[in-house]
Amino acid sequence: MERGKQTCKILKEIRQQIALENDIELVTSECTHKGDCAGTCPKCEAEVRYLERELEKRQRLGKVAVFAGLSLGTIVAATGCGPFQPTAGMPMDPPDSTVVCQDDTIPERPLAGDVMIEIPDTTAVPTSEE
Amino acid sequence: MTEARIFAVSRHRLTTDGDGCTTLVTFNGCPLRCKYCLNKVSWKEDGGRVYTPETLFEEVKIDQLYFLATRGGVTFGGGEPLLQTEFIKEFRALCGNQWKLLVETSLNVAPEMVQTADPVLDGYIVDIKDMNPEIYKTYTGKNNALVFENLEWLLHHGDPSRIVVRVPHIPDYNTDLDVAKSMEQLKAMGVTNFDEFQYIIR
Repeated sequence: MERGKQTCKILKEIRQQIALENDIELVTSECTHKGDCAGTCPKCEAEVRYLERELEKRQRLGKVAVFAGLSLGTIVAATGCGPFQPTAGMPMDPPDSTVVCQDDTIPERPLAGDVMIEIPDTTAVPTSEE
Repeated sequence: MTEARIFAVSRHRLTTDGDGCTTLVTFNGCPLRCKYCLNKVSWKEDGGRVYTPETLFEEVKIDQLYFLATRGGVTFGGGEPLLQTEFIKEFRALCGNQWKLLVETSLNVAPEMVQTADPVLDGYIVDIKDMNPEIYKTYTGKNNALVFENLEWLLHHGDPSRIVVRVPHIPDYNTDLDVAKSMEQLKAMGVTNFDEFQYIIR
């Protein structure tokens, strides 16, 4: 679940940037969780909800929420999470990373369009005809 | 009420299916039967879970802050998302214009589906397979006449840069030369963004 930890790190950085841009105090602590990481957890989600509440408070006071358009490329570089480097144009996977699974191996990193779920046997599905 | 069957909602995809932080929503139902399909579960039209645009919006809005901060949003895949244009249109009405909505599509659908969805979409990720009709048919089971027609229409009705065309090297189905020919043909049509990549069979 190394990918989950990387996702967690990047999302945390995004939250910190949102807090910074909107003058919100956000105290975060180092995650000490040792097991599997899905990229988010109740603690991370609570931080998101806290930011939403703080932004709503500011909006009620007439302040506009600032979303400067965080560059994931910059955040990735800052967090040292290498595999998510975007390419020019509309970022996609690096050219050699699209994988077709024909066995039980579930790739660690998601591929464009791949939801990374266990795919049941679909051999009974009829092939479409012209 | 518009309903659609969705087999997965995958959160926090970081530049995998478009800019920024995106949630991938995958519909059941596809006109193609690609040999190396990543999501064969989508072929079962009665699989997945039934959603309305409202129930989907309620589920995915949990990540709105990330979408807004990174200029991300929702990418619809499948299966073939352009079979669900009414659903996507209604979803846009709910989420507003700040989220980026993309589709990962084969474009092998009726032209009216593309033309109905286009006004509410920010971009397209098109898996073109191969431009050679024979290779295409052998690999997908369908012909690609609609793909040409829809791609032409999109290129002439909006900014071509909103379209990324993925051109795969497909083991046992096309060659490097076939891929080069496809790229050449697509460039001549006006495609500007490409993602040439390799299907790797594991």
